[in-house]
Amino acid sequence: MMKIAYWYMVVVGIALSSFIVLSKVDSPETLINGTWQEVEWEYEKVNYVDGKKELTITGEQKKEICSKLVIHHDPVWHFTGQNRLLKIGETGKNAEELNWNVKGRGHILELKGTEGVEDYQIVELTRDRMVLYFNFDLQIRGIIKMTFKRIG
Amino acid sequence: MLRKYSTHRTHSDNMKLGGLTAFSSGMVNVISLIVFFAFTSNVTGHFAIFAQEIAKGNWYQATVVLLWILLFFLGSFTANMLIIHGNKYIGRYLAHATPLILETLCLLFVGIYLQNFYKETLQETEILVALMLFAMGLQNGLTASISNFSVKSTHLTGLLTDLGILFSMFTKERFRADKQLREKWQLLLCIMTCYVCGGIITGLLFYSISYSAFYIVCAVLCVIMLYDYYKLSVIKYMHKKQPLIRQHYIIKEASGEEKEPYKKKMVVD
Repeated sequence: MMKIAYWYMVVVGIALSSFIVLSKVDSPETLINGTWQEVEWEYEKVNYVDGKKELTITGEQKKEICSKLVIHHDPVWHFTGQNRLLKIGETGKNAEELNWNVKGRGHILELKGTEGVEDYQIVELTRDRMVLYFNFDLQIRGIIKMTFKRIG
Repeated sequence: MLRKYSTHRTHSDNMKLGGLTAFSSGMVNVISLIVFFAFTSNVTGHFAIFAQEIAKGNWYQATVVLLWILLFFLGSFTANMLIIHGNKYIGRYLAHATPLILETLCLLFVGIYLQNFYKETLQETEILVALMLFAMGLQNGLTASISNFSVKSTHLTGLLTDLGILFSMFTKERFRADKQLREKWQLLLCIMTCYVCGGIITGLLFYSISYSAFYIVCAVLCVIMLYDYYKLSVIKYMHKKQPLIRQHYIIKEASGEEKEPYKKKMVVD
């Protein structure tokens, strides 16, 4: 009976520790708040061009991908606490404003604009770096990996 | 479907229970995937995700997933506690129906919350997914417990393993002739088909009826609960008021229209 009691205590202990961890660690919803600058776009999987590994996405390819997206190519993304995402274009002007939500276990970034809804997978989210994956099925091969660094 | 226990259950009881509960869990799983990007009727994948999040150092996500797994476990634990302890106080039917009542309440709450109050925050998502996993744990715990582990209707991993084994066994004549194995094969196929149908129907319906899909799941669960309630009411009515109908019913049973365990009980009465 005592051995079983220990197992019950282990389960309750795990549950209590989980609540403590959740109260101490920042949630992805909090971490994402702030201003992020796009650093690079590349393929997540290796792309072979003339027998050589090619990960980088060229400007032309980027333009083609972006033309079909709600998210147009804007180098700065500003996430506000009110679930608004301000996208700032290359000229420094506000390009567009969208709604954002983090879903799942904190691994999906959903962006809603007038043109529709897009879901990005949050692969990495720290205080300094954010990596998003976007699965796009035009003639583009593989998953697109978007890397950002925090600037504010 | 609900009130009979373990070896007293017939193949037909298990088919009905397995089919209906699998249909509802297939629906729940697809809704949660569309709305929350998370599976709620199975936890095998969650264990892999838990390990992956730990490896990546994402402690918040790992903890959330661990709590989800614990909620499924708690659901199964609660269901069996109600069955084994409730039997004495509230009767077998009610003890077996209570996990389903709790499951229905959980899913109804999720449906109503989504329709009226959902602001799409991460915390809401985590709590609602947790509730759905608890509900699925309740359902799986109930079906497995009362069917002597024959019916598990919220996931297909074990089921497909059993089906694979049975299919290979059926390459031999003596196994094909075994009635028990054939019945098991029918049961597994029924559960799998209903689970997939529930998922496909929800996938098709969700974009037109949205969160109201939860009410369909609740309606299916109510059918399971009320089926036995109706049967019990008929039996009580026949016992108390209508000896002639009762006699007629016993003759019908004896002619083979009812299944064995129930028939024996009625004749003794």
